[in-house]
Amino acid sequence: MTSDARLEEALRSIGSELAPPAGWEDRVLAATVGPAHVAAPAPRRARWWMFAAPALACAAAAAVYLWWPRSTLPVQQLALAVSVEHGGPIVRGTTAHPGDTLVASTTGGAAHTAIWIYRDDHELVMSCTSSPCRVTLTARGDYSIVALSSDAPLPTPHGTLDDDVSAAAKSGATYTIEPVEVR
Amino acid sequence: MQLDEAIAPERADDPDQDVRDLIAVREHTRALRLLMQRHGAALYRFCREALRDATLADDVHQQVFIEAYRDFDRYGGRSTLRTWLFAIARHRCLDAAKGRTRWTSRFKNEAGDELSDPHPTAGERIDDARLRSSLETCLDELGEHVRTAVLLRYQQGFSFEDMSSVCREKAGTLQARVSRALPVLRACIEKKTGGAL
Repeated sequence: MTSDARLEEALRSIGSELAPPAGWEDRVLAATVGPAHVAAPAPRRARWWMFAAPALACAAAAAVYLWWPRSTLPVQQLALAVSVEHGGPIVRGTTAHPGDTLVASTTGGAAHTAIWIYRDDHELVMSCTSSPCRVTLTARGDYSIVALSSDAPLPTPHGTLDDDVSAAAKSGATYTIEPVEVR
Repeated sequence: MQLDEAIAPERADDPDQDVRDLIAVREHTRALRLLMQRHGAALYRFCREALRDATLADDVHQQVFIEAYRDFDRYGGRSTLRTWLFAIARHRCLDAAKGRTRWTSRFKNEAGDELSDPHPTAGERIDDARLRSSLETCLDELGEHVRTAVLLRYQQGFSFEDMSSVCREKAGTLQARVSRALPVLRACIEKKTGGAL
């Protein structure tokens, strides 16, 4: 057997004696029915009620709009624009490379707006309370740009996308998320 | 992975088609049980060797299936269920590895000391036990992304195309990464054991 073949064979068998600890399947099943599982909504995940909820909200908003006195102006909806500067002209797109500059800007929204930028959902790269928000991309990863808007002051982000956005949503904020891949 | 299609379409090359059918009719607990039976051991081996930490691997291994259960609705069927599970596992292993970097560097030093052979014989063919022992240490010295690629390729037998789905990188990039890792591993093993492969 050649040295390459021997190495590959050793790699194929590595860990072959290992087995999961006893009872692991029961622990997984228990975790899937526990309260923590039920109470762990992921804000970015599309579920049927996420489509139903906006439809109901739109219907309610239309009803309010029709019945409300005409002097009340509707608030302009929050919009997020993301672009990447590749060292030359600004190009819109969702892919970037280390060294590029990410520019995120918001329009509309309520009295308080913010832009939070995360890498790989777990690292808060930048938090801006004014638009535009610019950040130089130093590492590869899946970036998420979150624009938030609220009538009340927004909570302080702590660094985990799901937790921060959930906390903001609970406090009454609306948000939109744009992904950017940095490769 | 972003797999947001609502229903998993049939895929002829997926041996877990019956599980996909269960997911489609929202029999999620039954689907989870089958996936644990079929892929639990392989995923555990992968987590253990990727993390080189039994306690951490136990946690990550279980978390993979909990996360899969939570995300069944998002499984889009573009990859096989096995590929999807390993993609989750790889992400969770990389996340876990980031959190224990300092511990890892300490472990590496200790492991290196343990494996040094006080009486190596130059040119001697390494026996299987020493090869195995030094291979584990040398794998630990690879970067996280390289180690997981090598394990997916050899320990788990993934094709580079399937690895591309797991890692969200081009197949050619992964192939080059694995190819570069083999001579590094060979040199590391021979240095640690003082023998020849």
